[in-house]
Amino acid sequence: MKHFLIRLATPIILVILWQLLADAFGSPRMPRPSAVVASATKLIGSGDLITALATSLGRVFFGFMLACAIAIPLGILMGSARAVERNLDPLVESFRPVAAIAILPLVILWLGTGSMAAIVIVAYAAFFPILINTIAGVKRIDHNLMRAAYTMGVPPATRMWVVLLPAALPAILVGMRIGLGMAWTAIIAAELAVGAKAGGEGGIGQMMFIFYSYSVELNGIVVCMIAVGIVALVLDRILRAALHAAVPWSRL
Amino acid sequence: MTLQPAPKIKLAHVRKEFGGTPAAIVAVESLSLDIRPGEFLAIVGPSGCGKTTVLNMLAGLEPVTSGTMTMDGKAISGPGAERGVMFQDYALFPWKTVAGNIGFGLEHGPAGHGLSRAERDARVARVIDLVGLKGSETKYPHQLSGGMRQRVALARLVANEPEILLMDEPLAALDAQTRIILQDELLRIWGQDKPTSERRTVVYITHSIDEAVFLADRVVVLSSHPGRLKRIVDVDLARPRNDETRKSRSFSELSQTIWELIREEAYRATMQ
Repeated sequence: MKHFLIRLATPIILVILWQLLADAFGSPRMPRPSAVVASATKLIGSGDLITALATSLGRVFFGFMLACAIAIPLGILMGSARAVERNLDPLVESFRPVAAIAILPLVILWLGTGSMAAIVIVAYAAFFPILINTIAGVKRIDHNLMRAAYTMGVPPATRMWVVLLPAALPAILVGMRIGLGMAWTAIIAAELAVGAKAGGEGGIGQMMFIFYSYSVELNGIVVCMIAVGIVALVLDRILRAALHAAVPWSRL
Repeated sequence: MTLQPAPKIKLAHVRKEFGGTPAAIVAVESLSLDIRPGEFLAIVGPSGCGKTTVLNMLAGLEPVTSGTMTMDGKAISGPGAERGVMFQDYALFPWKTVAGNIGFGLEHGPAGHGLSRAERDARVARVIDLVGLKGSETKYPHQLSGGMRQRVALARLVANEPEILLMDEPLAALDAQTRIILQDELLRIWGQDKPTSERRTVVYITHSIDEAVFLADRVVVLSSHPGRLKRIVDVDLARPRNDETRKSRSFSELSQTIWELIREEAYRATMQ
């Protein structure tokens, strides 16, 4: 309990400072903790915030799954076959620095502004960290483990499943954890950018956009920001716990 | 003069080069050697004598550059479950428990073909008992000491019941006391109390002369750069061998003989 209070000390002090400074120097429209709490109560009470978060999380889930489905097998292939890696590496490295938000215009033109576009953006954002970590994980595995299975007469395809994959799994899971963080960041940006046209599609990013461009509701925007942060934290904690549960042998 | 049985493995004029022409490095040169069925053969030599290369070729992990290497008259062209390998760093699967590691070859390799789940489990349990790992079945390798890991690696090798056991400095990473204990264990597990016909053939790489003399029936001494056969020393110490063996005069004399064979090169190797 004491430990818990110490951890909360810094946020509490910051909130008090925020309130004091806003009261002393701020304009009436400046967001302040009291108004944010009121706004949050309203948004949670109406169910709008939860609906928006659920919509965004759903898109992240499908996009993330899509990214895993492509990046993990491709990463294993690139990590184990030098020729494939040499061929694809320049392509990967030239797309990697292109932020997910930068492919948005193209995605909107092709897929419109609905959930499909958002899922593709998310998949793109999550793809690279998962791919890069999978490649590294496969390349770094102890060569003798593969040789040990080889000398035991284990056939090549089986070796892939029972040695290569589990040996690379800790690295793949690290990539997934980073990828999920990127996915969550990307969905907010994508929904913000398509917010004006997204009609009834919802999502937390779009909610922020509406607060920004229609009602100029600063407290609502802050509520959304806090919600986004909390969800990111929870997602990361869940994946970290899953990682420990899935690879108990690994000292990550 | 007893009649020698046909060799289990035969090396004839084996040569191994690494790297491309013209800058190839010759690791092993014109090595001819007969490995007898059921014998414990140790290979010693200064560093750079290619002993690990010889083992890798026997395992089928490295092809010979020229010459022939046959087992029961058939050329060795790749790894096979009939030749089990124990690696110096043990190569245990970190995601598998002790029992999972030991049963790995039975579960995924030809060693387990024709065995039911219950039969495989029974064999794993028997081997766990044999190497003294009872009670550690569900532990992971990173929870084990070096000596325990070595036992797991040995158990995994034994569980697969290969005809030939190839061991690459399996005790090198252990402290002196643990080494001595595990040398005794190794001979017990190998079956030094049994007649030769029931023993498995072992090829054992080590840099420790004492260890080679204590364990082996014959010690192959290699010279370095390139690795060549220098001498084969017969170790006529009675079995079963134990602490008495280590204290015996013939044990020290044999060790001394081998040391003199490689001393000069070993000194030279430390100066490079």
